[in-house]
Amino acid sequence: MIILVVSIYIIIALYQVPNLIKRECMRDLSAFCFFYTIALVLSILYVLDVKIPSPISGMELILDKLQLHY
Amino acid sequence: MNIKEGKINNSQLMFLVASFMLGTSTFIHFMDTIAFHDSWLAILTAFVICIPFVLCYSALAKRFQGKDLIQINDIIYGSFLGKIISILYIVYFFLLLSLNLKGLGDFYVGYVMPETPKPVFIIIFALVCAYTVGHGLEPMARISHLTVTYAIFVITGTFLLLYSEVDFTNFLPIFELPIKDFIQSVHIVAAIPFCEVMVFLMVMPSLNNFGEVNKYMLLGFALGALCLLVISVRDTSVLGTSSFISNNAAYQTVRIIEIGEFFTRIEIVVAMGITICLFIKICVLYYITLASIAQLLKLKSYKTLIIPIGGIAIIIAFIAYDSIVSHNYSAKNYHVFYTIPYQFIIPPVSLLIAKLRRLPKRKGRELI
Amino acid sequence: MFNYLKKIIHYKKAITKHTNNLDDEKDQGVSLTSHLDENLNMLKNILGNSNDIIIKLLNIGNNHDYKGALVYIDGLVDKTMLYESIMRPLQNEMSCSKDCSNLTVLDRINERLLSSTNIDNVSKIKLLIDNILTGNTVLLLDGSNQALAIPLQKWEKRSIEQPVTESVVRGPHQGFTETISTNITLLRRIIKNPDLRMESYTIGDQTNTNVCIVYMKDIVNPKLITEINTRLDRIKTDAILESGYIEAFIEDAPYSIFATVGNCEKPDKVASKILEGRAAIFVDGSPFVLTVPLLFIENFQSTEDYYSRPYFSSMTRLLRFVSYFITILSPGIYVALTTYHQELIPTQLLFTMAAGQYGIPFPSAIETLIMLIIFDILREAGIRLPKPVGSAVSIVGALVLGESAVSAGLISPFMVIIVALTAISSFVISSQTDSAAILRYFFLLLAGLFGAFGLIMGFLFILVYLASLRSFGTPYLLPISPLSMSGMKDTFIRAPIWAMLKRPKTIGKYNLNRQTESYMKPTENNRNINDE
Repeated sequence: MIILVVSIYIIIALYQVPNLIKRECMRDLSAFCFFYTIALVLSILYVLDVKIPSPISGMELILDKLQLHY
Repeated sequence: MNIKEGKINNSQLMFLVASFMLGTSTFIHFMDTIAFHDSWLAILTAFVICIPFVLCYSALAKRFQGKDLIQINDIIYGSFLGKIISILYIVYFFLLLSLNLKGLGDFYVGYVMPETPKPVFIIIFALVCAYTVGHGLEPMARISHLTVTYAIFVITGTFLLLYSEVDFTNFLPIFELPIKDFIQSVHIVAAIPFCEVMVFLMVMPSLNNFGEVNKYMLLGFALGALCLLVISVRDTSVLGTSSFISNNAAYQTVRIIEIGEFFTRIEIVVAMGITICLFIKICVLYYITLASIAQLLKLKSYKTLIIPIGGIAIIIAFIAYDSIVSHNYSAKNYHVFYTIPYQFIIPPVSLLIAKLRRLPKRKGRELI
Repeated sequence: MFNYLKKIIHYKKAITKHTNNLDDEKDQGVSLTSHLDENLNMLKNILGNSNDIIIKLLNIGNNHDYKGALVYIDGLVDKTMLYESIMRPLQNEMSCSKDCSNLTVLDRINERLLSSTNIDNVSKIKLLIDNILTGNTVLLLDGSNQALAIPLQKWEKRSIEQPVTESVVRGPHQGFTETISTNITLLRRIIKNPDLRMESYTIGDQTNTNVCIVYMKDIVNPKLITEINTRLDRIKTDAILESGYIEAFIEDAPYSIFATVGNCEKPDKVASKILEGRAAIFVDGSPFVLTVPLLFIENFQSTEDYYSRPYFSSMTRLLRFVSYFITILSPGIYVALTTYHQELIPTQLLFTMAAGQYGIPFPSAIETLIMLIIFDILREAGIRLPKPVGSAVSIVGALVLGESAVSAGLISPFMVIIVALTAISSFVISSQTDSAAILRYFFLLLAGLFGAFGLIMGFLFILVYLASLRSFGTPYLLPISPLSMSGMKDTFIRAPIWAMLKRPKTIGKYNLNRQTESYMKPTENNRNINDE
């Protein structure tokens, strides 16, 4: 499973990165790399059954502190 | 710099808004467990309350013609505070995208194909959405009237077929629930299907004509609200109190339909309607998330980000909630408060500041 | 590495140099000399000694004063005409005193003796060769550095017949042939209007095929013509053997399974499309004329819709839509229902189906796949065979194979019904048979993997794909999406002819009015015209 996920991500990178380099948009390339890394890390963690904290629970915590809920 | 490709016209915007709201129809049934048979009243009240806000969104778009939300924030709040507000908005859009993807998976696993794992639905759906978003705004705007037509067709069709089952005494007694519950249910309807149309502040800049944007925005909003109202009335009048047991009353209602003992289970038609409306909704959210990130980072095109953002959204959809119960609980108790600043505070304040400071300033004929 | 690059650059330079030289030669061209023998030698050098090239030496004038030669290709030239209108006048009726200069002799021949029209004066060898190859007869005269190209083409060709692909009950029965001039004549016979314009092209380095764009000057969008021109100019190829080659080179979406360039075989259909503001591309050697832009909806329209009464036409048109959906979706729906959603099948039917399926060795997706492949094999086998054998194949295929497969317990009887339905429906939309065949497998695969969800996703995918397609700047799904209410008159229904006052909005926007409201009830006085 993890091999499948990683290989899919590698294929995507192989397809997109040369394109971006060719068009010389370094801003786009760095943005792509940033989000790509997050996506890759999250996917690997998910596949490895690591418990990732949900961003929603963070939101709930803050709203709890502010007493803003029904 | 032109990130957004393609232009849409006013009627396409109208259908996009309506079908965006219809996409939410399956996700507000937890509201029934608060308002019970008065949910139609809650929808109606929320509709009236939301009209000024919707007009505020379209006024904002009209005032800053061709500028999207991120640019508007920059103009109004300056580049630093504007950026922070923009980032908050992006997080909001992104969460909406993930939660809707999750909702789709929940719906299919729960009602249509219980034996297939949820990730399959979410991934396949996200792939088709990614393909659509890759073609820009135009294709989804062009098929939106088809989805709305289909939805209206299904809603009226099922209503007619269920006519013998309709029992209007189910609505009695009117308004017997405590005021706090009523406020909460109005708030849910206002925040989740209705004022989510706020995200169209990222779509409206692509309009080719801003003259009648108020009218069409309101028409689309009214059309969507009307459909939701009819669905709610149908479900309550047919199922009565038992509609609050199910998590998806619309689906349960249609299961009752029988035509001559042969067509007994036509709920797949409803499932199709839900899917295609949700498709439009998720595509719009996907597009908006990408466009706002690209606008914030001043990228040449949002298309490079389609796959990474989609990947993150899918994973967030997997991990967002442990169960559908906690999803519903969080949505009706927390999510509605989370969205208040985005929907009800920032846009009116922006409009007020713009009016007071006479923004946008014009340089020649160009907006700055 | 660098050596390799150098080599490549060097090679490319050499090639451009070479082609430049060729171009130069072509542009300047070698002129004819005033010696007949030299000219003929040059011609022989270029044309070789193929035995269909005839060089006929003759003495011109009743006193045999001048030496001349006729050059033509055997088989492309009308021999009786050649004898009657060229050789006899030249040899017997020419009377010219010797003091005329040689050039004027040629002019005199042109003006006085030859009765055929369209005679060209040619002075370059290359033009001369082109003329000979297109079937003109060339007259060379000793002492003149010019030649006459006399069009006397005549070759064996198919007569005008009813087209095989689009036969109709009502409406004109003639179809295009393989000769471009005949085809254009057929169109001229329908549209008698000076605005009907044509632009000729010669495409194909080896075949030199004539290609002709035809349009109505007042109706067509001028940008469309410019776009077609640029796309045709871009074509650099050896051979154009059929209009399909041109289609492949100019279409918007070369990888699409949906055609974005239309083709048809009937002059009246092409005329109606041209009159709506489209442009037609005629290609020599093909009875299929291309029309652009193509809308998806055109596949569901037939000429006969407009010739018969609107109610029946509207009904058949709706039927075509239904059959298109049946042909692409029914195998997928069957598989989705039997594999994933048995609860949606009515109970009684479910029992019968279960009984039919009892003992079948394959899962229904595989079963459907096998049957669809068998159907495609049968179809392919039937098309190319002569008619009597073809019907034998279909009988063997349909009855014997289907019947015995069911009784042998290999497939279920429901499967046969589904495949038969699919097959019959696929022939209703004849112009989309190719895309439907692929879509059918696509939906079958999705249904087998993901059931109804897969079908809905596949459908949305195709819808989005179609909505994003464009054909020469026109959205492919036009009257449906983006929605055009006026276009709806001719989409799912066919409104009466007198009610379609406007041309399609996007295509014919330069001259939108088709007609004024001219439908008249009988006047009061004439209502009782037969009453005494």
